[in-house]
Amino acid sequence: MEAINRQQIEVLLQRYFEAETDIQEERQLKAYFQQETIDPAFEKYRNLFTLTESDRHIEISDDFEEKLLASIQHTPVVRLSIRRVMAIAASITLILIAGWWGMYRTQTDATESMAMEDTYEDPEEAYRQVTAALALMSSTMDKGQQMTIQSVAPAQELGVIQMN
Amino acid sequence: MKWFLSLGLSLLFLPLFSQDDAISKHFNAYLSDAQFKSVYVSPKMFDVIATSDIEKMDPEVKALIKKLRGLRVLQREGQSGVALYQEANKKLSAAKYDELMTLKENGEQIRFYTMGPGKTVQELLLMVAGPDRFLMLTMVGEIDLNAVAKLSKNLNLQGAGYLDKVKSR
Repeated sequence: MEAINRQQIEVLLQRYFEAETDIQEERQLKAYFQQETIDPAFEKYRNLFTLTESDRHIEISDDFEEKLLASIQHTPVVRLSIRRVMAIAASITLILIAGWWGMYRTQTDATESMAMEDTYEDPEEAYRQVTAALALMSSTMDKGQQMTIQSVAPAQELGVIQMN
Repeated sequence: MKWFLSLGLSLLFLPLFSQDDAISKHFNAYLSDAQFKSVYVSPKMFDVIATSDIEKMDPEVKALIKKLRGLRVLQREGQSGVALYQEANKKLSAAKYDELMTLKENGEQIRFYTMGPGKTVQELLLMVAGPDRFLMLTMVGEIDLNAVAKLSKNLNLQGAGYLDKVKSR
């Protein structure tokens, strides 16, 4: 086999391309091309006989079939009934309202809780405050009424209004 | 779906149900303003006061307190209250408050507002504005204006001393 020469290879190749080679001859070709140094004229054919050798090592993975089937199978079509759509819309609305409400509350809470908080814990203190407020209102009202009397006083001089 | 609608509606209208005084309704922003001092006495506290046996409680004051549901004071000192007074007058008349009385004393403008018809009103508001202060106090409940007016004659109360008692929160 080692003694195979250039001419013989040329003949074998010719037969190979015409699909006339037998197994014995193809093995010869393969053996020839697996050598490190070959005639440069045949270099272009090297792939034909060496690639097939390395290709043999390619194997399909175990889950190839599963993957293939999974990609072929259609994803199930989700059918939505009106009832279901309504339910989803309702829950979205509810969430939106809850969110809006929550924001509204947190915005107003700070001022509101402070505004609604009793200033006094002691009823007696609160009582004093209320009494003082009433007194201020009452005395101011009184002043107002006296002022009204004063302002009409000149009219009294003219004898238009009779005062006690 | 019905329960859902009713829930949504009640949530929307909830703020309208709480009946408040003029300060919490129209001057809310000032309550959280550090320049202002404020006082609040809640309906609950009025209940406590009315049922407690505080010594020397004047029967006329007690009768008034029994019908009160809230007191609120808003006060700012050290700067002119005139601009605030004008702004408040606009807001209050827009909110359908009735002017009861207006007077000027010692360079200060004073005005009473009421809410509700007749001599027994739902709210009585007093506003004082001078060159160095602004004061607004309001009471809600069933307020007999004649009973309030009579108080000072029967009690020797000094309303002016009141201002020193306004505490900061």
